[in-house]
Amino acid sequence: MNDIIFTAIVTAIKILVVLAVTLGLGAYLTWYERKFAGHLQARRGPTVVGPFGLLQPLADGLKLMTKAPIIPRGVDIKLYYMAIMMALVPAIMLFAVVPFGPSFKILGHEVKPIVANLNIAILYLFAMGSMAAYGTLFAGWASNSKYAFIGSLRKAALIVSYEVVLGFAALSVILLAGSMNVFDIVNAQIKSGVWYIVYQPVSFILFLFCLLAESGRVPFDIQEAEAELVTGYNVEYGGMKFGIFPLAEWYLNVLALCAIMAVLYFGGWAGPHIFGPFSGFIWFLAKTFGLLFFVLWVHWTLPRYQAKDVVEFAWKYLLPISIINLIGTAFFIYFKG
Amino acid sequence: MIKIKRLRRDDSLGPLESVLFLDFIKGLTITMKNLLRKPVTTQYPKEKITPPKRFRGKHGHFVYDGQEPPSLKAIEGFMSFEKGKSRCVACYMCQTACPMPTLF
Repeated sequence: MNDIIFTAIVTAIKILVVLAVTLGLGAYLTWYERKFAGHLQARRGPTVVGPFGLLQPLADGLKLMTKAPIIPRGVDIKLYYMAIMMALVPAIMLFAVVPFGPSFKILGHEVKPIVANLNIAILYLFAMGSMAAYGTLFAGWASNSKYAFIGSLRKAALIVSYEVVLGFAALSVILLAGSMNVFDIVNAQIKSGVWYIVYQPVSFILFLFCLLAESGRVPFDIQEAEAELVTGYNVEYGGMKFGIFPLAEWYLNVLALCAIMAVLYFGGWAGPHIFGPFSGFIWFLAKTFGLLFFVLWVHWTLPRYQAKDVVEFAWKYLLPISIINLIGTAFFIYFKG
Repeated sequence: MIKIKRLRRDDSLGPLESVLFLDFIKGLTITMKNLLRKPVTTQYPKEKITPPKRFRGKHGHFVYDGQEPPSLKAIEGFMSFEKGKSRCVACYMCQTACPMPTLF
């Protein structure tokens, strides 16, 4: 009985911490991205609100919240509001399977810093990643606007194509690790002493492309191509309703997928113990933010592919490469291990 | 004559370029150089760049004693000209601006 109560309390604390950290971090990533993008283009980024513009996210949030709530004529009200939830919830739920560090002991109980230690964590990741498409689709359909509709259709096509590649790319890592549990994957990497990016560079690049595509980042951001579609599926939303979509897609989704990528290819919290008891957590965050840095760097450098090219690229090149990589990995494991 | 550097761009990338993402890497190095550079922004209401008192823009006109002015560099990229010859197009802006009616 005592055990159950302890587990319940610990899980509640974990959920609260993960929610607070991810939402706060998601808001502050807007500041980071604007600052970083500014300096990439030899500008300064936000400087006015607070020191180094650090209060900019709060000012943005305040501005968005005080906007008049406008609902355009002819929208499907239920879907219009549901789309916001459908966009935000899967993005947050992705963090349920992110292991933030090695397991430690509190009061004689072993605690793992992960909300849900599923044995099908990677499968869950794919499921939630695809769920994000519903938010976009609902938003596009309910908005009663052709820009939003075309944008949402593009996003749906993108998710359908890249989810397949993502699956095959991650499958080769799962084959190497022999498990879908994130803890087992990291422990396998620590045990063998080699990060899987060494064995699976091709799979890593494919995963990176899928990350960019799934989270609507350049060069695959066809669903919000500003020049063609104003801003895509969220044209008809205003105020904080509008703010939720980029928060979910550009920040939370990217952060979660970067964390999973650190787990799959960079050995999660593996690293030398130079920061004392927190070294695992610090290594994990460092890897995640390194990947995030790269994603933002790519975003603010490259131009955009055409819509037809993006889907063609996935089916014609990425999918065959990923299948060949998977078969090669399978043969390697069958004959060597 | 000015040498104009012409860049050739193929319709499709070469095999090495497309496999190793060399085009991506080229772009990424450029932005990385920018990241390490000092921002070029002038924060207007706070800081203002004061031009010289009688500054009316640069000109690349042929000078009396045959010396080319240093400001010629500014227009080198935009127009073609012969060195040592006048580049006056008779726009009469100098006459309009002259405080004393000494020109023309």
